[in-house]
Amino acid sequence: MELKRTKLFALCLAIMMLLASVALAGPDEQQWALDNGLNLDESMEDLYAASLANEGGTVVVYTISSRTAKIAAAFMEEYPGMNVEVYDISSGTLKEKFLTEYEAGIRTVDIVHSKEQVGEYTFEVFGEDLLHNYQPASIFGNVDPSYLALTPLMLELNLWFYNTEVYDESPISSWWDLTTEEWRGRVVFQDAASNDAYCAPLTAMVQHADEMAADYEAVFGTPIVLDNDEPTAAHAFIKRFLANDPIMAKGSDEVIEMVGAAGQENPPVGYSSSVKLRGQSDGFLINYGPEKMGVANGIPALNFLGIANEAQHPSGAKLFIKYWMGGEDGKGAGYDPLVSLGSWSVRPESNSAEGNILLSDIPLWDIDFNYIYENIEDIRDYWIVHRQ
Amino acid sequence: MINTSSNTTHTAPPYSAARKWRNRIKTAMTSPYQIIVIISVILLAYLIVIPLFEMIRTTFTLAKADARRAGGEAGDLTFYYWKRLLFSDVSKNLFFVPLLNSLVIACSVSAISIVTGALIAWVMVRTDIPCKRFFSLAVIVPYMLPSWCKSMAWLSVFRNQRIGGAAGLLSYLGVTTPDWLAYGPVAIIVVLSIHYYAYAYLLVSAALRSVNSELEEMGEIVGASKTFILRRITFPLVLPAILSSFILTFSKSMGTFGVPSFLGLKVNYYTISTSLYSTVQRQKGTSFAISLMLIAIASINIFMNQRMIGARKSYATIGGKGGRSSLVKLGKWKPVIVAVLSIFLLFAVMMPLVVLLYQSFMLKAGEFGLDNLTLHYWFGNADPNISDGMPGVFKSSQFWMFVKNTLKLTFITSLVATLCGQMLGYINSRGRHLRSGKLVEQLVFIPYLIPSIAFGAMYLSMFATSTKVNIFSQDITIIPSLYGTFALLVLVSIVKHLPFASRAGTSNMMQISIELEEAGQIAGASFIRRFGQIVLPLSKNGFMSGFMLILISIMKELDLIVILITPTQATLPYMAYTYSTSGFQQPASAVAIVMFAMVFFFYWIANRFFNADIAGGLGG
Amino acid sequence: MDHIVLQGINKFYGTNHVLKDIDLTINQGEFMTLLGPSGCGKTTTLRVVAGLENPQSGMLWMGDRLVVNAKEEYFEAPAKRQLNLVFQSYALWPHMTVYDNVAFELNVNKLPKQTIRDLVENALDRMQIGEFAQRYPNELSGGQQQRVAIARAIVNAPKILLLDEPLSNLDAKLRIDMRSELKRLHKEMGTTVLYVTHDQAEALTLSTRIAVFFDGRIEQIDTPLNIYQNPVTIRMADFIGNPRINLLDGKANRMGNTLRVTCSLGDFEFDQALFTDDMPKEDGEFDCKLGIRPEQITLTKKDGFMANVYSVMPAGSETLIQLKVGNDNLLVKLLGLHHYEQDAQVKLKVDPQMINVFHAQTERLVKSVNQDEDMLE
Repeated sequence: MELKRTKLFALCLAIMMLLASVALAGPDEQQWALDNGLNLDESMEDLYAASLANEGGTVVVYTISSRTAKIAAAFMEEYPGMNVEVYDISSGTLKEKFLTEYEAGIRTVDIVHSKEQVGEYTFEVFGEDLLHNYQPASIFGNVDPSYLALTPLMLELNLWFYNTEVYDESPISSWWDLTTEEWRGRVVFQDAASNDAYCAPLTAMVQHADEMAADYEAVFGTPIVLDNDEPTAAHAFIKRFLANDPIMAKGSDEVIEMVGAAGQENPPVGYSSSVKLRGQSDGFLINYGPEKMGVANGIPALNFLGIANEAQHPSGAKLFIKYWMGGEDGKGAGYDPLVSLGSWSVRPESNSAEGNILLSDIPLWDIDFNYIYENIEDIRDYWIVHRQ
Repeated sequence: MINTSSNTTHTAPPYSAARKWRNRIKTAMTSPYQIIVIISVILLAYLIVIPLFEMIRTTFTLAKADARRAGGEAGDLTFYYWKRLLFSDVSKNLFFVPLLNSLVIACSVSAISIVTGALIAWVMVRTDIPCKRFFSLAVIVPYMLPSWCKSMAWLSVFRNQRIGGAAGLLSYLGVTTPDWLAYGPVAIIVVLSIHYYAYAYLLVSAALRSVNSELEEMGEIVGASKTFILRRITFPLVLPAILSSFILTFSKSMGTFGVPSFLGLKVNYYTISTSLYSTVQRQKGTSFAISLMLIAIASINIFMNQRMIGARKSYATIGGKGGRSSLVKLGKWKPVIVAVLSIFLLFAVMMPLVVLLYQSFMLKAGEFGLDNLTLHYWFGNADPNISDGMPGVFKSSQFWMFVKNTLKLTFITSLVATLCGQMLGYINSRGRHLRSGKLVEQLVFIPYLIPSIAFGAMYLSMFATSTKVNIFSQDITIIPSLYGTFALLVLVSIVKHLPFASRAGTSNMMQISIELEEAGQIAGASFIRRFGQIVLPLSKNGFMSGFMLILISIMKELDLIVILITPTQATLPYMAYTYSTSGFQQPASAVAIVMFAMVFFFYWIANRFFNADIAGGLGG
Repeated sequence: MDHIVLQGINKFYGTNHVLKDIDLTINQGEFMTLLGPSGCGKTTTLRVVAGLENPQSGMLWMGDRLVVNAKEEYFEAPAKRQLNLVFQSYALWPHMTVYDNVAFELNVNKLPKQTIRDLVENALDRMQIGEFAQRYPNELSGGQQQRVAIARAIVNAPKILLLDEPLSNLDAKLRIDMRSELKRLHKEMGTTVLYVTHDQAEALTLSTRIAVFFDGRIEQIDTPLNIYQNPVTIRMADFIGNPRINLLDGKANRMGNTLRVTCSLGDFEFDQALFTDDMPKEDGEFDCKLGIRPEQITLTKKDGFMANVYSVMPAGSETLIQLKVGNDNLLVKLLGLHHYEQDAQVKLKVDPQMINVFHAQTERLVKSVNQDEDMLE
């Protein structure tokens, strides 16, 4: 008797699930962007007035940085009546949250702030017009066009750190150094299988495999001989690097700790986010020396902003982005919390932290999201296969 | 002579189907058992079956990012993920090697912890060892400290130059620890074993206590030797408990993420759970396929165990009144056994705690000298030169917020889960012979099989957004968007702990004879009244035991909520874990110590004032 | 409320058919005992009457009220049936005092405080346990707990009192005491009693009528005397009576109005007056079994059937003697102490009127014992 009732319930449930239909947005996302002036360059005063008048001064932000809350606080002080709600979400779940909400027809968020490393936002989100760029000339006029596929906030990099107690300058000048006996078991990396910030540079490396081959010859004096399972010199590097017993850290901070802890005789080198140079002030004996790195240190990771399609508060969103980017002169207080060692503004007119190496002095590969997006899963698998 | 048959004849009113349905509905609406069953089945289907179904569906649905490689459109039906997991180049490193590692770990840990736990249980229950109260408290202390905190302590002692960073205690003292001891399988097995032996201890000692020693004395009367009795009478009697602890330990060590991630990842030693974690965010299809394999392994394990236990299962309750138990005299072995036990406790219980405590007073990591001691990580004000300007934990507003979060999460979850557990236990115990009872029992058991991380991931994707169904052109929200809310943490913790809660509830309800309740029913007491005035007062101690079991578990919980937590909702385990992965060993240790102190405190209260016994919910 | 009628009750646990077409009428004021070996369905029947189990088919009337109509899935709640139940385990609430245990039902019914007090005290006094009112059940002996359980059951003067093996947990002496206590209680209160037991001595001494259960079926419903003297089947005969009935193989031949039986004790002839409905209608021979109660055999010095003494078991008030007659064993029960040598030859005598004859094939009683009307009050 009870069971019959349960069966009935299960049937109802199944029917409900079948009936469940997810409503997708209509085809005119681009029209929405035009209607809401995302192509215009209104003044901040006009936007402020419009936001207060039409949108109650509200802006909702999903961000991956804890610093955004500070920026919002400063903004609300400078623009009374504005109310910015900041949701600090881990980069791993932010995209999923945004997309699933969007598909379910929920339009709460106005601005999304995240990090593009593999092209997933470019192709899956901006490409589908679920997020829109907002690049008014008064802000982005002087920005290198190669960054303008998205609305860039700032750049950070993964760089090779070394222990300053033992080394006066970076002991490595080529990726190939890491495959030598000297660095066996003394390189801290992260698992590229689960971390795009480490897998993306390797993918770029494959794209520039010929440069890696040339670099090999420059380091070892002989042309590289590829094994059967090494399609390119870059693959050869990945395989030989993994065979050299690298240490896998769980996070960028751990890399810094392993490299920079005091009192080590034989400290490792480690690949970590450039912003972690601030670990110096925590007593870690670390530095990076990317200038003389052969070929390239990797690729920049782009912190970007985007306005959600059909956002409820477009004027407020535009105003807050302008403020965040440092205002029209680039010197505004909105960008101040982002000024730090190891991060670089895309705007030449912005302030840079004291002692920051010029971005142009760091050898990097250009970002080619198209290539990375298409190939990163292959590289990831290659990495997993040769992980020991 | 009394009239032997009644002259009155009774004829039934003509059959009416309408009355039948009215009666049936009325019964369903007014029978408390039926109502609880219906509500339970609906809720369990919603919270367990749908997520599981979604999980299976995900492994057969092509994701956008994989569309090109798999050659199809996003959303297509695909076998790509299963092929990739089982029959591709990456299978070996993604699945088979980690699986083998996990099996090695799970088997070793089960063997070590069951032997250790069962021996200690026997010594504590059946011998005249001195200081029983102290020892029996001390042996369950390891259960109160999360296993990954023990791996933090392990690293603080054994860490060597292999992976760089601050030195461990032994390196500091000039002892070079070999790599195989510092990291990898041996370290993982040791750390997990000194954690999970507590399960075997709790279960076996409960079983030993319930076995009437007359059964053993009978053996003595017929002239069997002590070892013969131990082997042929005592052992078979506690075998069900041993097999239960095997299931528990095996599944737990297969699914645990914290310890292998601390001690294995850095040296590229992957287990199935760390492999699962590494795929859970970027490759959901693959990751859920791994989870399903883990569920399958756990199911096979349990199935085989049940075949083995079979009819013996009921042994555990034989002579449940226990009664007299004559103690084995240790005699000249007493000092030896006390010494061995003390050394074990020193190593397994005291060392991790002392190391963590000491570490929390060290200004610089890796400097174990006395001149390096400081109170900064406890009481210090923010100093930009120490730990990114973090103040001592007691001075940190964040810390107090996390303490509040932890207490809130723990209490709400434990209370709700225990109440649900008692209700489910009520169904299980009262409906044993009914299909409804069995259905509920089996549904409740499912979360036990799903690894915590996968369970978290499952809930994340299920509750990230609201799901609406369209019925008669009305949008009805069947699954609300709960991501980022505290409710989601509570919900996932409750559901994941339901198996334990319901077992605790069942064993509690089984102790309350159904006749006590029927006597109330005859007296005309309503269900509410019966539950409130008869069942609840009698189940008070069992309730507290179940509550404590879950409380301890949730207060330490990390795997389950690690991917659901947003920064403002963080709990103490999460705080300790992030500190630790950020390289802040000392604050991490301080938080771990606070966490332990809280668990210990609550356990002490429950034990002292409610006579709680946390073994109840573990048993099979 | 007068009588209870069970009609076509069937009960299944899964595929296990525990009650098979139970028809039973219990008259008002009757002391009806359900007797049978364990697992025969007697307790289940009691629980169906109580409303603690719902049958899959059948009907139950209490007076003219239809209480259970399984076909229409109508089951009246136990509390509405104006009955009370004493459990085998007593089911006293361990967290309540004796007083609170007994007062529980009255409290549920929201009677005035003073009425409750009076009723509870009355019930406790009647069971002679007034002094224990403020104790907890676990502070009482088994017999005292039993009395509390009964006090709790009778406090609200139920129309029907159900007792489920109430005496099985008591020792032999207390059991006898409680039997007379129950008998008095029944007489005083005039309540209809439905009593479950596996102890036939209890059933025979207490009941006005007994229903004997085998394998979920009622084998026989009758007065204690008739159950004892004329069990309707061989297994009934075998089940009832201690020491067991003697069963001898024989050959029967119906010849019109007489039945001639041949067995190791010789030939007997019985008149039509004692034939039962199960007697074959046609003349002819059939195999039979003769049932002879041990106390119906007497040993004589004079002419009788020759037998050998196999063993002698004196037990004070009676003596059991095991005899061998040809290949058959016979048990004889004599009042008082008697002495016989082992292997001695004795002569025995049986009153043919007191012999039951069963058909060997149908196992049913075909010739009954002449009812000894004098023994009835």
